[in-house]
Amino acid sequence: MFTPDLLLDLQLKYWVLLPISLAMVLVGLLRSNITYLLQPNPKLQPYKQVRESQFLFKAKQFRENNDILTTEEFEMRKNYYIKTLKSDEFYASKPNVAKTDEFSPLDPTQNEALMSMAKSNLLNYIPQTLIMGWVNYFFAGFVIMKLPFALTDGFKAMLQNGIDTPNLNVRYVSSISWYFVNLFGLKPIYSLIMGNDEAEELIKQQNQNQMPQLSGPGQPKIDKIFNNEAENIQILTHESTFDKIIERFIEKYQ
Amino acid sequence: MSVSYPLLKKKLLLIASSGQFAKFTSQQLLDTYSELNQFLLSYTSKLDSIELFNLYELNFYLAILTKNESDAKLTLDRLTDQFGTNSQRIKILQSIYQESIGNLKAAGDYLTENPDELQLSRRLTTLSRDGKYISNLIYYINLQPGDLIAWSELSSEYAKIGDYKKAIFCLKEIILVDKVAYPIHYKIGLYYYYIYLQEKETTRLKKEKLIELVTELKHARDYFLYCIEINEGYGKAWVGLNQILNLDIHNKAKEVNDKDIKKITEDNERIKGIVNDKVKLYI
Repeated sequence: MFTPDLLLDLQLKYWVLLPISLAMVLVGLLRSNITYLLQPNPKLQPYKQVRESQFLFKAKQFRENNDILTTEEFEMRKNYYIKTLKSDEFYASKPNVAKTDEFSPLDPTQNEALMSMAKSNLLNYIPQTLIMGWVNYFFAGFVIMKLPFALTDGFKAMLQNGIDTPNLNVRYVSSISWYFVNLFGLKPIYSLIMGNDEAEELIKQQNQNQMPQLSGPGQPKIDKIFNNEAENIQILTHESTFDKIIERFIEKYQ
Repeated sequence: MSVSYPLLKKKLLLIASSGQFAKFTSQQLLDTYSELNQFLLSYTSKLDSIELFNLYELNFYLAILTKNESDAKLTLDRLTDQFGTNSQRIKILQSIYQESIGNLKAAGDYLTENPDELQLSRRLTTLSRDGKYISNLIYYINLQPGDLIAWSELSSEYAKIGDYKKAIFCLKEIILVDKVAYPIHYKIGLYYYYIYLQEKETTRLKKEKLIELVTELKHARDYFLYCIEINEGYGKAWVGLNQILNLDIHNKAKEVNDKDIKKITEDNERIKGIVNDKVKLYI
C-alpha cells in the first residue's frame, strides 16, 4: 500500500536528534573517566604466594619439558621435585592453620572483587537508564529522522521502536530506536575522540558482564595440589630428545 | 634520508618494549637518542597516551645511558607527574636515576620499601654487585624460582668465574620453561665445549678422562644440533658444531675400546660432511 512521505520538522534535528546523540557521547566519556577514577589500585600478590605458584609452575614445566635433559639430570631433578613438593618449603602459608572453607561476605579480599564489579555495573546501568528515561519521557513516539537509504522490512522492529505505525516506511527512525543505535554504534566516535585503544577499553566496560575471579570455597588446598604434582612427577618416565637427534639431522639435510 | 612516521614510531616502540637498547653501541645509543628526541618534538600530539609514555620511558633510559642526567630528570618528572610514585616501574626509574648521579643509598631506599614488589627486589639484587653477588642471586632465585632473567644472570656469573657446570645447570632451568629458546641451547653447547677446553688443559689424557671429555663434547654437539633444529639459520650453532666435530680428540677416541665412545665417534663421522658443507655459509 502506498503511504505518502512524512514531512519532518527541521527543528526535530536540532532539538531531539542532536541532543540525544550529544548526551550519549558525553555520558559515555564521563562514565569512562569516572570508572577510571573508581578503579581500585591493583594490589600486589604477597611474595610468598608468588613463590609458591612459581615453584608449582616450574614443577609442571619440568614434567612437560624434561626431554631436553640427560638421564642423570632428569633423575636428579625428579628426586628434588618429589622431595620438595612433599615438604612445606614452598608453601605460602602453613596448610594446618585452620581456615574456614565457607564463603564469607565479610572477608575484605572477596568483597573487593564483588564491589568493583558492582560499581562498574552500576556505572553502566544508571546513566543508561537515566538517558532512556529522559528520551522516553520527553520524546516518546517521536519520529526524528529519515534515513537516506532504503531498508528491508526486517529493520522495522529495530528502527521504529515505540511508535505504532505498521505501514510507515522503514526509513523513518523513532527517538528510542535512535537511542539504541547510539548505544551500540558509538565506538567510531569514541575512537575519534579518545584514540583507538581507549575507545576499545570503553566499549569493553560497557559490555562487560564477566564475573570477577573469586577465590571462593571449594578451591583445593595447596598441600593437595603439591602432593598431586609430586605423584605426577613420580610416575614420569624419561625419554631424551637427543636420542634420535643424529637421525633427525641426517634425514633433514641428506 | 627521512623515515616515514609510522615506521619510525614502530621502530622506537619496538626498541622500548624489547629493551634492545641495552645492547646498543655508544654510537647507536646517541643516534637513537637524537632520533627519539626529534620524533617526540615533531609527533607528540599524534601519539596516544600509552605510546607516548612508553617513548618517554625509553627517552629516560637513553638519557641515562648517554649521560644526559638533566634530560633524564626532566623525563622522570614528567612520568612521576602523570603516574605518581607508587608504581614499581616508576620506582625503578627513580632508583636508576639516583644510581646514575652517584647516590647509591637513595637508590637502594627506593627498592626496599615493600617485599611484595618483586621487580624492585630483583633490581635490588642486581644493584649490589659486590663479592656476594652470586649468593644474593641465589637468595633471590629461592624467593622467585620462576624468574628466568635471574637464572640467566646467575649463569653468566658462574661462567665468569669459570664454573661452567653450574652455569649449564642454570641455563637448563631456563630451557625447562622455555624449550625453544635456541640461543640458550647454543650457550649450553658452548659451555660444554668450554668445560672440554678447561679440562683438556689441566689433565693428562688417560682413558677415563678421554671418555669423560668426549662425553662432554657429545653434549655440546647435541645442544648445537637441537639449536639448529629449532632455528636453522643460527650461524653460531653451525660454527660451534663444526668446531667440535673437527677436534683432534675424536681421532684419539677411535682407539678407545668403549661401546658408547664408538657410537659417539661414528655419529660424528656421519654428520661431519653435512656440517662442513653447511658451515661455509656462515664463515
